Amino acid sequence: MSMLEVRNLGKSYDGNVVLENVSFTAEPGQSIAFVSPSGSGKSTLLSMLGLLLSSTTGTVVVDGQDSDALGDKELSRLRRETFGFVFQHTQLVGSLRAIENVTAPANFAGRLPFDARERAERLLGSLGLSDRLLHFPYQLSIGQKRRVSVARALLLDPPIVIADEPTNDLDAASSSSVADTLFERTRNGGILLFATHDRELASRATRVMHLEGKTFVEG
Amino acid sequence: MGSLIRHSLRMRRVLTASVMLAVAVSVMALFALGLTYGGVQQGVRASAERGGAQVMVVPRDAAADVSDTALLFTGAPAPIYLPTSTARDIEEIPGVERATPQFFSQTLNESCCSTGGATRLVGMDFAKDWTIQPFSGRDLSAGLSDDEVIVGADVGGDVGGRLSLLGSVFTIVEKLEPSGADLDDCLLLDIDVARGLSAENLGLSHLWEKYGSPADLVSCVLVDLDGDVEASIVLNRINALDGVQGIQRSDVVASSQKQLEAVFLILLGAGVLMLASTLVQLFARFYSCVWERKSELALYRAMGASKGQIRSLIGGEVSVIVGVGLVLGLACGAGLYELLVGMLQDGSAFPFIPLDTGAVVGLSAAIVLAFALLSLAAIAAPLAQIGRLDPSLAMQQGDID
Repeated sequence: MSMLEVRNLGKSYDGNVVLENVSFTAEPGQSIAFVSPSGSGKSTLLSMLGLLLSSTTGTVVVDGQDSDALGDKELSRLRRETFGFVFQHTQLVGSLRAIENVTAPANFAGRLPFDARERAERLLGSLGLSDRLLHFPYQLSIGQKRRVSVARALLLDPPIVIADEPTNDLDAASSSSVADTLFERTRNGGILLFATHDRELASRATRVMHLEGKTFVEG
Repeated sequence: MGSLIRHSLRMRRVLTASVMLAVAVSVMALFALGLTYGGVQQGVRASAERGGAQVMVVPRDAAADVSDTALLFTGAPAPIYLPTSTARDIEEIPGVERATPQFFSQTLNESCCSTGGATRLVGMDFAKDWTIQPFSGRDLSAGLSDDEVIVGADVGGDVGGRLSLLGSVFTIVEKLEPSGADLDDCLLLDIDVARGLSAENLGLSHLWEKYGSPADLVSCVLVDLDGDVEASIVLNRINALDGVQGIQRSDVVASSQKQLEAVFLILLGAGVLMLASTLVQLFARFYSCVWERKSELALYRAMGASKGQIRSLIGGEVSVIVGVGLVLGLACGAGLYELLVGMLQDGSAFPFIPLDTGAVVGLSAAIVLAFALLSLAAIAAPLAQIGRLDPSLAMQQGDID
């Protein structure tokens, strides 16, 4: 049984087909890069993979659980325990400081076996933001915001990390730091699914999927 | 969850404070108006049930000093008297069913007595009186002994207690139920005892030089008429007597009730308008507060928050805002109520009986319930709408950075 199995996934908006028949599996330790031009459906695919967007056709099976068959509670638990998201537009909460943005997922996770704030500090430190813990998003550069969102995605140590253009707007050093942090996960058995049009970043993935027509194919 | 609620309220502190204030002001007004309305309504009901006398006959010079509710139960608070013979003449007038005299002695205060405030000392002929009995649980027709006193509802002291009045000690044998009228501030003695106290008071000697011995005086006569006689005819007969004027209750009550109706209408109208306006505004405020945050809430769902957790988060925030507003509003409403009641009682003679504790608690609970339901309704609709959106789509429609 694969950790993640995608079966004939498709999405249409008002009858316009954006994606169709996307099928693949992902195993622990793998990283998969989705490469295609901007606006071709990478973000839509990642949202469906992360159970943030319902599909028009097909389904996503996570650790043997068909997401189509799950109610809100089970779906929420699956999102919380299985996925970490790095959104294309960082999506930080403006009323929360950097450290509070990172610990936000812990508010919904119940009792944790670790101290969320301590882990958040460590993650932010590893991403070079030790001196920005108490800054609000409006006080951070776009690159710093992106690193905060990466730290947030990793807080609960999810088995699958989904990252949408994770190195966008970053300088070379920051880009490398973020990429290293994300790929580090796969060495410990995690799965990394990311969208990019950065060929160098894509080349670090164990698998690359390209857009062909309205579907993603490997190779 | 608690920390998210705190952060959210802190970061939106102007919005939080303004909504809290709106709730507090609305609750204050509703609570104060509700208590006042209830008190006036009880007073009017009590007046209707305990009608007092139909006509009060007073010395012509004292007529201007008679307040509306004094007319019903007690005499004018003025040292102007008429002879007992006139009182007997009134009883003899055809159409007079029953009559009872009263003797206003004086207004007492702490300098002479232990009553704890300004009270009126009134002598009653309990054997003939029917106006006070409805406010008492004991049979008053047997009268009082010389050292016994009945006190109005607002006079200090309890049954069995002692009162020092003008150098004499009296035992309180009855405390009357509230009338909402001047009766509540009266001390009632046997009429002859009251006359005796007045006669011995050197400060009043000038009155007795003018009117004669208090033993032969009354200050008013309360009268009920035969049901089958035209009241105006009897009133004309009374007014034909030397130096007296009859004042018919129906005129006073009608006038008083018109005023009451006007006040009720104003209170009720203001209350309803305020309630409607407040509810609409709060509903809109809460609704937009939630809807404008849909991308933030969707983000929390993307992090794994269930719809129930989102409801708890928003519900927690609204509970804090409404809860603080309610507490402030109820406290300030109680203060405003005291102010309103003071104004009503100072400026007019509205019968007013404060609501009992149960009713006050009930009104408070009703207001709390109304605001709780309003808040629930206001947040339920946008939360349901957001819940139907996929988190990914909702996040694209918002304002998070």
